[in-house]
Amino acid sequence: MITIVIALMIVGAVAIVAYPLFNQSNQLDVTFAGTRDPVLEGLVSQRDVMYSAIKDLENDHAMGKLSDADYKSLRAKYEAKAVAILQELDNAVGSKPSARVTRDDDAVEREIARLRRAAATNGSTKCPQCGTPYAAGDVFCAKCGASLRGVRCPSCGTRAAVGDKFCAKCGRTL
Amino acid sequence: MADFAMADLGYASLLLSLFLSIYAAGAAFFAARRKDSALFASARNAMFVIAALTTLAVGVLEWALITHQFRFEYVAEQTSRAQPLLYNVSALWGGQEGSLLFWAWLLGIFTTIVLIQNHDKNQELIAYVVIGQAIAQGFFLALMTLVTNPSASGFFILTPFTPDATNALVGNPFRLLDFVPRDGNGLNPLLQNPGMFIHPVTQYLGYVAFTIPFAFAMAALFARRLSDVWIRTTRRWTLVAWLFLSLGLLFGMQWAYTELGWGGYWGWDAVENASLMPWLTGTAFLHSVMIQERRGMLKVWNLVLVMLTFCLSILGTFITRSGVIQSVHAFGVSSLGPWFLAFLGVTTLAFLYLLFDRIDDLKEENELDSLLSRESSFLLNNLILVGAAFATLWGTIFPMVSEAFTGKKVTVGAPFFNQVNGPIFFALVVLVGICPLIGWRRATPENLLRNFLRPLVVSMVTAVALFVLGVREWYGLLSFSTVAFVLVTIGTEYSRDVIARMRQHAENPATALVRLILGNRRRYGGYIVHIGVILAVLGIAGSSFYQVETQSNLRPGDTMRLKQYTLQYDGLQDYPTENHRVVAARLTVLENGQPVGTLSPEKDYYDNPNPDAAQWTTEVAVRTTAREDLYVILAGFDSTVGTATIKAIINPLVVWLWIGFAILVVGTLIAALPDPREERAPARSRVREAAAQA
Repeated sequence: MITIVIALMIVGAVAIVAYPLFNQSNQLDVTFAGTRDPVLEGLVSQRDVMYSAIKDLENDHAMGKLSDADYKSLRAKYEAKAVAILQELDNAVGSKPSARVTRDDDAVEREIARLRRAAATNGSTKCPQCGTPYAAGDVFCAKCGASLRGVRCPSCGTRAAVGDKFCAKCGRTL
Repeated sequence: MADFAMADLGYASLLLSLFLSIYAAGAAFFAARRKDSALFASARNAMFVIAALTTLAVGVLEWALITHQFRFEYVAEQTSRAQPLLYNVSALWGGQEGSLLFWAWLLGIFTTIVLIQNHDKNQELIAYVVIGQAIAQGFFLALMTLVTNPSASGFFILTPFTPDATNALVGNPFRLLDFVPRDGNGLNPLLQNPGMFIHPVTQYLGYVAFTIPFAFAMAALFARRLSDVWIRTTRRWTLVAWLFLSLGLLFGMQWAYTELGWGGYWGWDAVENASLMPWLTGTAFLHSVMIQERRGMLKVWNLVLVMLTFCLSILGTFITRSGVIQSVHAFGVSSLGPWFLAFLGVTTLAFLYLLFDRIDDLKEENELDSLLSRESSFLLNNLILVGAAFATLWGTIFPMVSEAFTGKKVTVGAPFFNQVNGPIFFALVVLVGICPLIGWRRATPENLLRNFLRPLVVSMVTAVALFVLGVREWYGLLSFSTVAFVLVTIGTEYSRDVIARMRQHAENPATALVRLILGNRRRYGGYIVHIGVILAVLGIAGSSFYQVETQSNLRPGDTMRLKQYTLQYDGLQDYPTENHRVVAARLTVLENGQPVGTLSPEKDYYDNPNPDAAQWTTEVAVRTTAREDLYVILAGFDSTVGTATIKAIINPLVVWLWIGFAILVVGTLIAALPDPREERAPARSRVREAAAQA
């Protein structure tokens, strides 16, 4: 009696294991086609590493663990590296439309906002009131106290860059 | 005839699982090489079937244990009719064969979870992970289904198809006897304690869970995918595994404290050390991976650390099982020892080969900006923890090594471990305090000193206050003031960040604190874990340095004194319970002359059909306050005259050890919570836009 049960068990096990080999059309949800390219993976990793590095620098500086001089020099160093990686990543992503790049949206948003501001003020980030250069992530100008963040759009609530005349999301006049 | 049938069913499911695991390893290998999804799906299905079959085998064994199938040799050894149900159920992991089955079962379940978690990602890595898991699974299954007792068969492995082969198999949980005993031996009375239910389970969960990060590490090496994907995928597994190892340590210590009756919770016993060592390297690993994720450094360190943790977990299982080192835990000498060592050796060699072969893919992405930086303190952390693990390992295996070379049996006792590990752990505690004060990349020395000042001042004040209150020993003053230092450091981190948040978002302190923690669960959960560790250190320091004891022989009505406590002996009680006889001493406890309660330390007698196996155990009675434990033992008694020998111990601050661990658990759970940011949608187009505008 138990021999029959055991025999059925063996048959069942073999059937479950062999099924995918014969049922090629039903690929289940496993496919190697979407496997990420290790080079791309490495670049995404490095990009995230740079963003975390910059965020940590900001935090440490704000908490008083890092002096102004150290903060500025390290930050410049890592920002340069970050831009280089972003460009390399863009080349890689551009040629592989099926690849997915994820993670750390906030850092990306900040980077975009900063680059937009840099573009708007011809490549350097200066306080709109007194003209003193400020670091990305600063909310108030250290010299005159003016707000460095743009206003919120009254319609859709998106925060604009300082100096913007129209909301980038919904187009309303600011 | 049900017992014959079920034994066959159990053994058959294990043997079938063994063949499936060999198939799965091969299929997954070729699937990865050829990028063949059908073959991979087949290997994956095989792993699912193995999980189901081992569950069936566990079901069969539990059925036998619960329904008293004494023809099963394992059941006859581990249970008896009078034994409470709880201990019959827990007998599954109580003996050697059962614990092998338990390991294989847990491994199957964890592999299933990993496969489901990764059903839509990491395909190439997962194929290699399946190979690793299948091999580990195959090892444990082979131990149960193939390895024979050399004296029975003449050689190590016997094919399972010869007559009565299954009953010569050393690891087989389903061995049958020629007859049906009327009753079983019952569990060793020392093990009849609720700790039996929870300690081995959490310990095994920890050991088995660490196979997952290791399998991913091996897979990453094999597939040359050495960015931090393997680390990010296994981050929660590492935390969960470490949590279970911590729980295993906690419940082991708790059990020793309440059951063994010598007033302590840690004796540097070989098996205790076996559970401590992977915890130490596991702690180093889970800190060190943060550096790789943030800065792309310490890549080789992380691979070595996860390998060490896995090997020490297997070693821990081996030391507990083989009796090769004298221990309270010894389950008797077993012939499975050499197999464990062989498995360990082969795995280590394979890993090291892959590591050296792929060394070029493990280039650091950054270098140390400064010796005074958080990165270098993490490196120091690695060195300290691995140092402690090696010192413990050396002390643990030295008796074995010495006997092998000189023929003399030596014992390495607590003094060695305390002298070597004491200073190492002290350095670690100091590091826990200093590290948050140091910035990433580079700490400006002036800033560091400024941040150092407040905690330093508080710790000095603490030392002076304690001195005034009567604490004069340098080690006591040093430990307590260091504890104060670290608590202030962590407290400052929290309060500074909460205040900053309150200003930014106009929140009240409670909301700010909760949002702060939820906003970065890893960091703030980690700080909570550190608080727990420091409180545990407080408990350890208090009870190690300031324990006092006394012993008296008392007649009914006599009293004994220890510091501010008076114990009044009222008499002996003698009564039977379900499966043992209790002799208890009734004591009234007075503190500074005022009655505060009663205590009843016991000696319990467990009878047994085999007269050699009958034994007395000690049940201590403890009165716990925040300040100290009053720990009372019935060391001896004379029932004819009603006298009792009472030993009383005061263990200061012990309760903080347990509280500290509880806080550690909470902190780990917080750190393991999913981060909302990880669930966001891809930002590919935004990356392009940013780069285009730059």
